[in-house]
Amino acid sequence: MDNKKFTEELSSRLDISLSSVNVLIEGLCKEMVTKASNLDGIVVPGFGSFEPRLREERISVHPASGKRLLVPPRIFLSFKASPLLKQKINNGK
Amino acid sequence: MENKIAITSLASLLAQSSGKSKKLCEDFLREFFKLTAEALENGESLKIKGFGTFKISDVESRISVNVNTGEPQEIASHKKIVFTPAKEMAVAINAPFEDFESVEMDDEFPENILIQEEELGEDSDNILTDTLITESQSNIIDEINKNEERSDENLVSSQILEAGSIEEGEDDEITYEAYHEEEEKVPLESNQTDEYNLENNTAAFSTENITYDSTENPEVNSEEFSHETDSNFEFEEKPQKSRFGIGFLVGALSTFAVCAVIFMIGCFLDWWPVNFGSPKDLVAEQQTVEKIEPEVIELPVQEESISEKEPVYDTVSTTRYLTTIAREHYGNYNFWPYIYLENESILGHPDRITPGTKVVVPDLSKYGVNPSNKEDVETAKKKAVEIYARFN
Repeated sequence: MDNKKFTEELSSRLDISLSSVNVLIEGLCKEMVTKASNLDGIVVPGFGSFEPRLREERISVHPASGKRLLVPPRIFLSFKASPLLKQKINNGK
Repeated sequence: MENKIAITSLASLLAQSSGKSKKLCEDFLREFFKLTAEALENGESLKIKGFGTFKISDVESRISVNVNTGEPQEIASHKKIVFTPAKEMAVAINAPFEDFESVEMDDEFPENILIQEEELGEDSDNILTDTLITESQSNIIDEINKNEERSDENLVSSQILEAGSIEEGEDDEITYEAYHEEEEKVPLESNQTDEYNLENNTAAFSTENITYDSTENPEVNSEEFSHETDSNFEFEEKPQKSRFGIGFLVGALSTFAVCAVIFMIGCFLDWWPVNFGSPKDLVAEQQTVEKIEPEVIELPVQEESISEKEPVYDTVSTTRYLTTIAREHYGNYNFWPYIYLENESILGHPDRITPGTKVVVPDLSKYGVNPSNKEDVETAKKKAVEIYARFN
């Protein structure tokens, strides 16, 4: 399912215009970014959780040049599906 | 921090920021995740613009060991959900660290600097996790929020800088905010390097800071200026971290300067748009990377054999290998040798295919194999070994 189909389906289900769906999705992304930057996770019951993970800064060796590099810290947003969703996916083969 | 946020509180935040009613936002969020779950249940992958991609991927069965009893047990093949955040989102989340980049370290750097760095790392953690405790720290959050408000602008500018720094290494990601975070750790009165000998006090240092940033956002800058002076007293409490801070700052500043020069030369000579495309193109390019679909191209000999299936083409890239293509077309990556055999004439070592090479994806019935047949999987694996053996 692509973005267009997804937003259209959402707008028909919620009975709101397509543009307001887009506004809401955009707002949701912003909220998630704010939360993730603060390392706050988002839990959606029956769906899963979005957990930001902080990867510490570290020193690694560049494989080609052999120079030591200080790699800066990074936050990764990881998603963990809830057991319920996992079950649904595997049953619906 | 590190709280878990439930859907209701997320809805109220969304209602505040979007100006819609709270009920609508809550319904929206529920419907959003419900629809996503439904799409995934139907085995579809789902791409949401600005948010990310959900994909279903198959996990093959494997033998594992029961941790408690030590007995071997089989984990059955199952499906799992893979979520990849959209590029914009991944960049925006990393806004606090945006300005850091991989810095090359001197070989003569003493090993014990590692310990100091660990301390520093913990500090940067504390900044993240205990942000609201002190006033100066809460300023950082303001910065982050501001940063997000102008994330579009920022994204484009970071793309430009990335384009400029390609010659320096692909890992480099340069933006601005981290300079300020870094500066907090630098005791301004003890400059040691040539660059700062001339400007040996806080004021001079900060003016440089202003000129550097003023093209971006002067308002934010003035705030940061005051924020710096506010937190000056903190520097004296952490004297042992000074050396590292200066080293890092000098590295970051000099890299930025080189990038800026390259970028300006690029603009001036007007070759930049030719080589890299406009920033918008760059953004678009990155978004479309995942969209590469197998192309079907009609051949002129089509009339002769209408009953025959049209050959399917696919392109090898730095992120799509023969195994990726095999998995998409046949549902099992082990069948890549058949793609290889079909294109033997144009391919060399299977691990050294030039990105951009277009390969024909043959119909597996041509080789009389079936991805769901276990024996055929074994045959395919053997074929892979044979192919690798040719190059030994």
